[in-house]
Amino acid sequence: MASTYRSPRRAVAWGGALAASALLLTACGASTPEEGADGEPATVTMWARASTASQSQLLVDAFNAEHETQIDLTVVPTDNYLQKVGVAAGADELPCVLASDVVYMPNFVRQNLFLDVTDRVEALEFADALVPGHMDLGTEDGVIYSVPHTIGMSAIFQNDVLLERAGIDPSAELGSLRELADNAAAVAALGPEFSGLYYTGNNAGSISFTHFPAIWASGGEALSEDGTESLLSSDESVEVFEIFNEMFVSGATPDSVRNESGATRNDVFATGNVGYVLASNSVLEAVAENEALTIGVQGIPGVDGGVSTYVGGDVVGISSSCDTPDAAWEFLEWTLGEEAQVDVFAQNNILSVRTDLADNEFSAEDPRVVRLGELLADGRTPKALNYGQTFNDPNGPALTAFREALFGSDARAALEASDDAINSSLAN
Amino acid sequence: MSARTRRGAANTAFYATAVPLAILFLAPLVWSGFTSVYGSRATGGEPGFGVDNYLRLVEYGAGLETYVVNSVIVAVVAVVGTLVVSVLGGYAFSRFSFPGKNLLFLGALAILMVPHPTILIPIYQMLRTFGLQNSLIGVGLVVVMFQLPFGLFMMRNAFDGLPRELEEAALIDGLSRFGALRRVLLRGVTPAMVTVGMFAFIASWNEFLTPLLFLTNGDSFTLPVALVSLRSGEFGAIDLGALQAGIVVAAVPCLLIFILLQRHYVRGFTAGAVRG
Repeated sequence: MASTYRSPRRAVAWGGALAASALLLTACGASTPEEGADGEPATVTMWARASTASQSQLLVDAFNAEHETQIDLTVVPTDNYLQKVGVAAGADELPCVLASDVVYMPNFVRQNLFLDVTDRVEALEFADALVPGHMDLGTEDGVIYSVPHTIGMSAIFQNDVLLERAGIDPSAELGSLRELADNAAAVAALGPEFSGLYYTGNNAGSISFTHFPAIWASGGEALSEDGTESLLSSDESVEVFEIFNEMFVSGATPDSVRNESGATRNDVFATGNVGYVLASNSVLEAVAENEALTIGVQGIPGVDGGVSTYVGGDVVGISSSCDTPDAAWEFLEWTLGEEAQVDVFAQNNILSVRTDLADNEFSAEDPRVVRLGELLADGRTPKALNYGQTFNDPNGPALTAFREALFGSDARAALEASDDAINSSLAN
Repeated sequence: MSARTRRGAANTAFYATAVPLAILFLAPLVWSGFTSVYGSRATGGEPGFGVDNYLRLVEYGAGLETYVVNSVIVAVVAVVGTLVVSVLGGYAFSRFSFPGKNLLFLGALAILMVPHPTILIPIYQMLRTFGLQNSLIGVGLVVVMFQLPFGLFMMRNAFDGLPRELEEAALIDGLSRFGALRRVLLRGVTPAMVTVGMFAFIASWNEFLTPLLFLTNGDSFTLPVALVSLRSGEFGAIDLGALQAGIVVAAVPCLLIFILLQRHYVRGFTAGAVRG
């Protein structure tokens, strides 16, 4: 009897799914917008995800204050951003300006969500100075669809006070991942309330954000160049995960890392009981220093040396549903200009998306920001069509693989065993 | 064993079961309330009691007041809409005979079987056709649709439980069908209406996906969407204090309505025992 109930339900589900796909395809095909009404100051709608919205808000407020064109920013919950964009794209109702986590860009471009802005970008005097990783992910077959919006880069943040207590010179550059492990062990040895190294261990997006740079710095690759194959079981990658695994087993990394999804990472570091934390540049904005905590910055080293960083953050483009692309571009062009990048971003301790403005009057005041700017030059952004479903989705194949490699008994076996699942996710 | 001893033993067993269960169910609520007013974020520094969490919540995004008002608008549309359609529909299904009646009823119940995500884009486009996109009323109407199967089912059963003689007497006394429904029958199905209304309220108050997807302007977001935005805060960091405060704010109306209407709600399930 059960099947008689199941089949109509399935038919309805399939019918719905087919209709949705058909609508999505139809909507994606329409991409030529009309011009906005001349002479009328346009109101341009914009969406940004909650996790980076404060930076977008700063830009929007400053722009609105001095332009006739007004930007109407809507902040969307980060975890539901893709869902909302997907449905809006299906109904051809995207906002004019759409910010996106940079890693989703290849997929969005493939689905024709964005307008071609190649000519507009190339006309910018500083086009060559826009962060290369962001530009790369927003470009397909030589056509540019997006420009950099906000930078989220990974680095090691250290508590100088605690390192000194453990007999480590905080001003000395970390030479290698092994040295990091030794130092972390020394900090953890200070007492049971102290941790050597803390990071987000229950979120695959965060793990790739903080651990891929160590693979790159070791001379390895996490993904093939076309983003369709995992290279996580290569020797360089395995060695990186083995060192992190050793730190976990030895207690240099606390048990709580296993359950850290990112929600309390900054709070844990803010207690002053953590020697090193692998995190994003937001630590400098979000964590307050005190007598037990002075924050220093290091690049993420490879097994035997080198340094790298994962350049994440958001890019922004004009959506295919936009009927006032000129007004939208007026805003985007302004956000990349010197006023926005220096007077709005740098003044608020936010990294510039232009390499030629990394050194400015405000960043010069804080050597840590200067250091982050330098690290940016060694930064990478992995490009894969299915990056999101493979690495950012909590149900994707990467989380199990990473956790088994980081906290299990055999990192190599765990990474090798997960190759097929990750490859198939990347290829689909 | 005397009757008194037996009663004593039964009482002890009752309290031994009820008290732990009450603690189990109330603990999360009490804990939410406590953590919303206690901690270093609640005081803006040192650990202790304070209302800073609530102050931050009030100022979050477009302001707590806006989100609460938006949620109330959606809830009113959902409750009123669900009640009107369910009562009229339930009455029709219970009292009228027309071709395809059972098929139509089955069709309404089939809404339960459709996975919501598969019909979101068609609904989105329908709302646009009717000019109800990015509108709180539109969101309320979508909630009404999802509440219909339960509402119709409940109201049809409630009307079935009323003796036809009541209606016939009203008609003989000169009332129209609608008049009989309004003046006589509604009284008999009030408990079922309260139940349907309460379910519609709680569903709309907690609804997340529909307002998230169908409202494109941040100022029209409802409370659950605002709270999830707050949860997915800056760079993955959560302001747990403000979130707890938000949970308390969101839970209070549900609790109040449940407590106020509990009596009717319980009767709703046993409705239909009216003597002719």
